[in-house]
Amino acid sequence: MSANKTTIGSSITIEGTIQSQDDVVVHGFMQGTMTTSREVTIAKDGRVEADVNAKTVQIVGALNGGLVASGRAEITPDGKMVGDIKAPRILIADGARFTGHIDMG
Amino acid sequence: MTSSNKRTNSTNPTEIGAGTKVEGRVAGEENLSVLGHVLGKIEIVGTVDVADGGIVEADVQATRVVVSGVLVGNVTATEALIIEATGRVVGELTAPTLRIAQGAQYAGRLDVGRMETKTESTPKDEVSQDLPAPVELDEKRRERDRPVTKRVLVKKRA
Repeated sequence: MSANKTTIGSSITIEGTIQSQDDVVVHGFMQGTMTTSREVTIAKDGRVEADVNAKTVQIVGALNGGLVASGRAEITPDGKMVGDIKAPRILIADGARFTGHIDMG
Repeated sequence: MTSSNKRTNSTNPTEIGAGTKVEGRVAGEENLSVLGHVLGKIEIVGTVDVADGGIVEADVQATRVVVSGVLVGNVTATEALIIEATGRVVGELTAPTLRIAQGAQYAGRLDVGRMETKTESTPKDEVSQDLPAPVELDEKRRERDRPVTKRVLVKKRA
């Protein structure tokens, strides 16, 4: 699938399931489950209460839920996460907030 | 009400990409473009644009709805509903103004024209520029005032 992009704007709320082969950027609010074969970015104004499954995940905003990445999981200095991370490569930046378990197996 | 559709989020316009399927409810106060697939319910203050290739199987409530792809569901647009030439729509449509382009396909029941809930003073030119006046107003009126039992099939290939 080509480099499509899915963007959830800051006033948007999605409740349910996102199944994707695109890069997904969340500026708004998403609740449910989110799966993509590519990259998920939770932007600074984004809030996700969902289980997230992706190749790479970058959290600049807030994630409450389980995170499974086949590549890298990153929580940036402003990012907040509550939940468990399973990923081979994990980066939690100085200043980031994280509560949960980590599995790099 | 009509001014609200001017509201956009220019930096991060909401777009459901071609490789994405959303199941559930999508709501918000900005424009929404669907190039992928949305199943469930859409409630948007703004324009919902179902792009060519996009599929929406949902009840849609929006200020303005433009369909170039496929839309199956009941649609209520507070301002206008436009089915472009590539558009295919099945469902019950409610809108003050409707445009069905040549080549578009539509099946369902229409409720077009000034809505009862709208004040009669609503100036006509609030509605978009090049939209032609609804055809056969009298028939539409009769249609609207008739009990819901009757279903109309419209397939317009002008």
